[in-house]
Formats: sequence, structure tokens, C-alpha cells
Amino acid sequence: MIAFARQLAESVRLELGQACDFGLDARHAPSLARWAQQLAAVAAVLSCGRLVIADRARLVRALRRLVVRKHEAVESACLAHELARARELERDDLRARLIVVRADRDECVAERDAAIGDARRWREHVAACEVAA
Amino acid sequence: MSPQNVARSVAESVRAELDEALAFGLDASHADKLRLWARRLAFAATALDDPRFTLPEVSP
Repeated sequence: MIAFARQLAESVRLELGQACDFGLDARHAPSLARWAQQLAAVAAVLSCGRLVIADRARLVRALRRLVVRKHEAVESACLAHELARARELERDDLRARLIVVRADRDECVAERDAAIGDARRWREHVAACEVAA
Repeated sequence: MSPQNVARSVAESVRAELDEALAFGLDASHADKLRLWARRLAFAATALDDPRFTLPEVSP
């Protein structure tokens, strides 16, 4: 495109030069307007090339920011995963402790009931002995 | 100075600057100058077409 723009500028230079050499008059007005448009087009193409370079630089910077954010996101995701795992382990540990505590409680209840049963049997035995006496 | 002379002066000036730019190689740094030359040529076109200085018709 830039080569084409240069060729267009060359052709404008050639035609303008010939018109100036032969003397410009009102008949050249449409040609001058056309050459003006062509030079504007050449400027647009050359500017586009410059913009492309500038855009590419901006794109590279944007991509670098994206890479950094991606790394940060990955690190955050790993951290979140670790936290979730830690909470899960803590929950499992609490559940295990709860089971043990309940087992202890059940054992205590059983021992209490056994003691109550023993006490009742002892009172019955005592009562029976008193009756026999 | 008539509009047509102004137009010729502008066109010559643009031609000289364009010659120089093409001789050294046209690149992106010339974009602003090219837009300026385009505006000047458009002005020259308008000045050439100025009806105030149209040559009168010669009667037979």
C-alpha cells in the first residue's frame, strides 16, 4: 500500500509539473481538485501505516497487561483452590472430632444407664434381703 | 494579484515541495505535509475556477 501511495504521489508530481510548465488556467481546476484528493489519499495511506505501527505498539502493551492479569488470575485461582482445600480439610477434621465426641457421649450415657440399672438391682436386692430377714 | 496568479504560485510551490519529498523518499512522516499540500491544491483549484477572472468571449 505504501508503494502504491508513492506511485500515486509520483504521478501527481508528474501531471502537476506538466500543467505548471504549460501554464495553469481555469481548465486545470478539475485536475487540481483531483490531484488534491489523490495527495490526501496518499497522506491517509501513509498515516495508516504510522497508525498501524502505533496500534501494534499499543496492542503489544495491551497483550502484556493481559498476560500479567492472566498470571495474577492463575495465582488467585490457585490461592482460592488452596483455601477451599484447607477449609475442606478443616471441616473433615471437625466432623471427625464430632464423631469422637458423640461416641464418648454415647459411651457415657451407656455407662450412666448401666450404673442406674446396677443401683436399681442393688436396691431390689437390699429390699429382698430385708424382707427375708 | 489575481486569483489565477495566486493559484499558479501555490501550485508551483506544492510542486517544488512534492519534488523534494519524493526525491528524499516519501514516508509516514510526510503525511501531515501531504494533507497540507492537498488543501493548498484544492484552494488553487478553487482560485483557478474563480469566475471574476474568466476571460471575456471575443466577438467575431
